[in-house]
Parts: sequence; C-alpha cells; structure tokens
Amino acid sequence: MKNITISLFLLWVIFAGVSVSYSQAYCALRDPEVAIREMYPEATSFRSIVRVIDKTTRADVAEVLPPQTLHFGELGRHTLYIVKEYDTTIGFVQVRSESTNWGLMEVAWAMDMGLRIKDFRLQRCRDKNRGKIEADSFREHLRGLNFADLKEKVRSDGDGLIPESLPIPAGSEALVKSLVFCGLKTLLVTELAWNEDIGRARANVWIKGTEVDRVIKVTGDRVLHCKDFLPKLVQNGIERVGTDLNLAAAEVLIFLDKENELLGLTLEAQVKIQNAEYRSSWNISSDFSIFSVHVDGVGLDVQRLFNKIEGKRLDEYWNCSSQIDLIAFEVLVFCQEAESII
Amino acid sequence: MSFAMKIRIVLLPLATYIVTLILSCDTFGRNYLVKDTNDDLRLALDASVRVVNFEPADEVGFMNWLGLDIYQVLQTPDRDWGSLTFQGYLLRIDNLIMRPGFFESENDWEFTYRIFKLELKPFGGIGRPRIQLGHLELPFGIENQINTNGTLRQFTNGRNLGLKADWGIGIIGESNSLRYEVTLTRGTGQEFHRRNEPWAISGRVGSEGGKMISHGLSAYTSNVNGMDRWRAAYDHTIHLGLYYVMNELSLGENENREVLNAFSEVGWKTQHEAFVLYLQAKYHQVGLGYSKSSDLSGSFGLRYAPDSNWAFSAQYSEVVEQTIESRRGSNVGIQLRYRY
Repeated sequence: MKNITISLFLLWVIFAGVSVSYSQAYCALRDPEVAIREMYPEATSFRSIVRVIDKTTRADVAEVLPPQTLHFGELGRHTLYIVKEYDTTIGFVQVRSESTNWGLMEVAWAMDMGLRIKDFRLQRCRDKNRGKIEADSFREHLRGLNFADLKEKVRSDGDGLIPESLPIPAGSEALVKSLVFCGLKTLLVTELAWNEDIGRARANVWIKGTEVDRVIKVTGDRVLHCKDFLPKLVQNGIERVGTDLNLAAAEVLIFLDKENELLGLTLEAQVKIQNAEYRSSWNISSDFSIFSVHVDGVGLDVQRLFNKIEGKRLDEYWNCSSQIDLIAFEVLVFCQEAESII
Repeated sequence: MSFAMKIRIVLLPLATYIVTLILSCDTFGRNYLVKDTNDDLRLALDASVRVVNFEPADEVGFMNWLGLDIYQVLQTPDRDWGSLTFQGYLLRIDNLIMRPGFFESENDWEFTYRIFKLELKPFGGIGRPRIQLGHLELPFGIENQINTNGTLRQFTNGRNLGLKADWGIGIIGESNSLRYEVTLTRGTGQEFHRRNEPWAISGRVGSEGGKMISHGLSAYTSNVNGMDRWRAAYDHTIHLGLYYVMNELSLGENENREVLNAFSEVGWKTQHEAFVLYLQAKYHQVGLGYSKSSDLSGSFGLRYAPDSNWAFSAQYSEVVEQTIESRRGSNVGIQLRYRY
C-alpha cells in the first residue's frame, strides 16, 4: 500500500504545477471527410489548419455568449478545414462537440466565405430524435445564418431559445438547443482562432496573380494611437474619429507576398448607418483603392451605394460629399496608417 | 520494493517533466509545444502509473508508461495528403505477474508501439479510400471502434485473435454510411521480426458508429505463434440516453477446434462523458462436448477524465467460472494518466 501511495503521490506532485490545455495529440473529433463530400459536392480538395483553443478563447466565448462557455474537454488543438474547388477556396468546415441528454454530439459545420452557415452534418449523435433535425426541412432554417442571426434565436439570459424563433420538431427541443449553441460556438471560435487564416483564404479570392504569404493583424487601438492619424482626418474636415465607424474595435489584416510586398488589406469594423449598426468588411487594394465593400444585413439599396465607391482611391476623397464618402475616406486613411506601422 | 525499482518509478515521470519543461519554455527563443504559426504538428507527452493487486498470488505489481504521441498532417499548400501517427511508449513493469507476452519477466523494460502508421490518400478527391502502413489496430469487432490502448478497460481481441495490433498494410474508407477496413499484417504483434512466417488478415464492415444503434461484421484468419485461426463475428452497440450496451459474438476455430468468444458491456456516462462506469462479461470457449474448456469473467470499472490532461481509472476483474485451473484470478487495478 505504501508503494502505491508513493507512486501516485510522485506523479501528482511532479505534474501538479504544469499548466493545462495543450495535451491532445489527436484531436478526438473525427475528420469530416464524408461530411465535406456531402456538403460541398463540388469540392476537389481540402486543407486542414490546426490552432490551439485555449483559456483565452474560452474567456472570449464566455464574454460573448454568457452563460455558455467551452467545456475544458473542448480545449486543445482543433482543426479548421479549408475547402477548395481546384485553386479557389469555397468554404470552411469545423467539427465541434456539444453535450446533450444522450452524451456528446459531434457536428460538422460548413460555413461559406462570409462565415454564414451553409449546412451541417451530425457525425455523432445518439439521440433518438436525430432524424428530425437532420431532415432537410429543418436544416433549411439554419442555412445562411451568421453569428448575429443565430444569436437572435437565443433568449436574452442566454440559457435557452426564444419560442417560435425556429420551427422545432416535436420532442427535439433539447437537441435543437444544443445544436444552436454548438453552431454559435463554432462560428465564434472560428472567427476568434482562425481569423487570419480566413482573411488569407478570402484575400486569395480577390487578390489575383500572387499567393498571400504572410498575414499581419493590426488592431484598431494601435492605429488610433498613431500621431498622424487624427491630424490627417482633421485636415479634411473630420473632427471626431469614428463618427460612423467603430475604429477602436476594428481589425486590419495586411496581406504580404514572399518578398514582403503589400498585396492588399482587409478592414473589418462595425459601421453605423441611419442609427443602426452593421458589420462591414472592406477589401483595399495595394494602391489604397477600394476593391470591394460588404455590409452585413443592410438592404440592397444601401449595399448598392457602397458598391458605387468600389475602385475609388484615397486621392479622390479630398472632397467628401456624402456619409458613405466620409466613411470610405476614414477607412482608407486608417488602412494607410495601419500599413505604415508594421 | 528495491531501491533501484523506486528510482525507476521516480525517473519515468521526472524525465517527462524535464522534457516537457524544455519543450515548453522559451529558453531557446521558441516554444516548441505552442507554435505561433499553423500548429498542425500535434505532440503530447503521456505518462501513466498503473498499480495492480493480483489476488491469487497476493502480489502488487506496477506498470509505468512514458510515451510520445505525435500526429502530423501531411499537406502541401493546396491540400491534405495524409497523416503520420506515432505512439511510442517506454514501459516498465515491476512485480507484474499477469503481463503482456512481450515482456520476458515480471520485472522488465520494453519499448512498445501502440499505433505507428502512415495514412495516405493516393486516390485523390474527397472521401476516397485511404491506405495505411505501419503498426495498425486490427479491424475486428467492437475493439476497433474504441480506443483501449493503455487503458484498464480491455475487450477481447488480444486473447481471441492472438493479436490486437500488428505491422502491415491496410485500406480504410466510408461508403453509403458504411465504414470498412481491411488489413494484411505480419502476425508478429509488437515485434517486427518474424519467426515461422506468421501472417494475419482481418476486416470489418460496419454502419456509422455515431448513431443510436450500430452494427458490424468482422472476419479474421491468421497463423500466429504456429496456430491457424479463423473467426467470424457480429457486433452491435445500442445507446439509450446516457446508458449503452455493446455485444460481440465470434465463432471460429483454433487448429480445427471450435472457438466461441462472447463479450458484453453495459455502461453509463455523464453528458460530457468525463465520467464513465461500465460492467463487462467475457466468455471464451474452446472445443465442444467433453473436450471443451471455457471461462467466464467479469469486470467493473470507472474512468474519470476532468479535462484533456488527466484521466483516473479503476477496475475490478474476477474469473467467475473456469473449467481448467489457471493462474488467472481476480485483480484490482488503478491507473492515473497525465498527458501534456
């Protein structure tokens, strides 16, 4: 008995001080090869990118999705699958597990380039109601939803679904709740942990000719502290930074080739239009012209106004005549400053 | 316990600790365990201590592991081509009466491989069959679906087939909700070296394991340790809420003597599956009529894994009935495992 105690004690003492979260050699979740084939029939290949989901990601999830958080078993190395049709990235797949009344459920989520749900497959679900949520008629209600859309289905206390927000098949209420929270965590964790990889994949779609080699992320607060940024705006009649753009929380991804030459930039920021907030994504070419703008959730008429500024360069904005011109000018100056500080 | 033995028990986890510290610190300007870039090399250090009380001899034995578990996806910038899995373990047993056959004595060192394989996708596309090369788990019965390597919880492949994992090649794939796997192996188990030209062929085709009910059919034929064997088996798993039941029945022959092997497990788990309780029954019969020999044994065990680092397990096993006296008897095992 003494020997047993000694052995166990030694193992405990020796390892007790070592921090956790990098232990998995295998990701316990299965490769979603069959799911990829079913959800992207046009796909010709995929490439996996492994990232560490750690306590920081867990804290971020808890902050955005209280009281939901990642179980300690969900930490460790996880994989995002970049799905391709020949040379073009057509979407992403991630597998996440979620606890249910029938044990762990494992869901392969397909996401489009804008991180909207394309489809899902249950790789593991022992619940007797599995067939009801696998039916195409139910899956249809989740297709096309992004994180914000899916979060609207959740009660304000974060602990259940809003009645009538989804047509839940009889008897599968608990399973649908687990599925929705699994989807929310997947969309959020994908954005948090693979932000630069997704930016690179998107950039390779609109930056033609040269493959993106490096991605550098610059956060908005770093740019706002640049001494040149505010004077440049003031010189052009913009006195309050971030009137319509939430630049403090903005992120700029800067794409470089193998020779460290600038290929382009992507800025993501919340934008305020007619007192409503939207998420905007701006692709900026290496000559600091606007390549494309996408604003999530705005009507077609507003999106068309943004489409009109595509192709415009910074020097065309010395006289801003509309709210959208002002926003575009601010974006271009902001991106120029971000590029100058790397 | 001798002084040398105590030193070994201390040295194994201590060596893991030192290697872990070296790899995880930034002393050399780089943290090798947590890279900033694509972290597709997955590396874990794995240490376990198992203590077994073998009641018939009233002896306590020890089994210590120190292992390296590596998983590397093989890829080019445009696609994944396969993967490499390496699970190499240094094992030390002390005073272990009931021990795996590759140990020469009750106090011994051995370097073992659990899985050591290269898996390739030579046919391109997505969802096409993959080729496996290396030290593979035999695709037979329920054991193929559940990882029992290095755990107290064991099924019956080792005893029933004479092998649990073996060196060779295999093909694995999925088609129309069916999963299939076939291996052709050297029949040498842990050893790579062959004597008397052993061989083994094994295969299983089964439905998706992730559903409420799953089934599988397996076949096996071999010449291992000079004995010709063949087996055919049916297995199924049924889940009901947090409870499950698994059954496997295999029939066959050892050198023209009929063999019947039956395995059953019922269990319960928590929603996160961090805690599992199980009860197993194993029946093995060789021959028929007056010449038959058989034994029935049972095990009750639990496993608690609060996170992806720690796992604690305990198991009590007892031979309920046996027609021929053997050294097998009841035993209690407890195991603590740490993966970094």
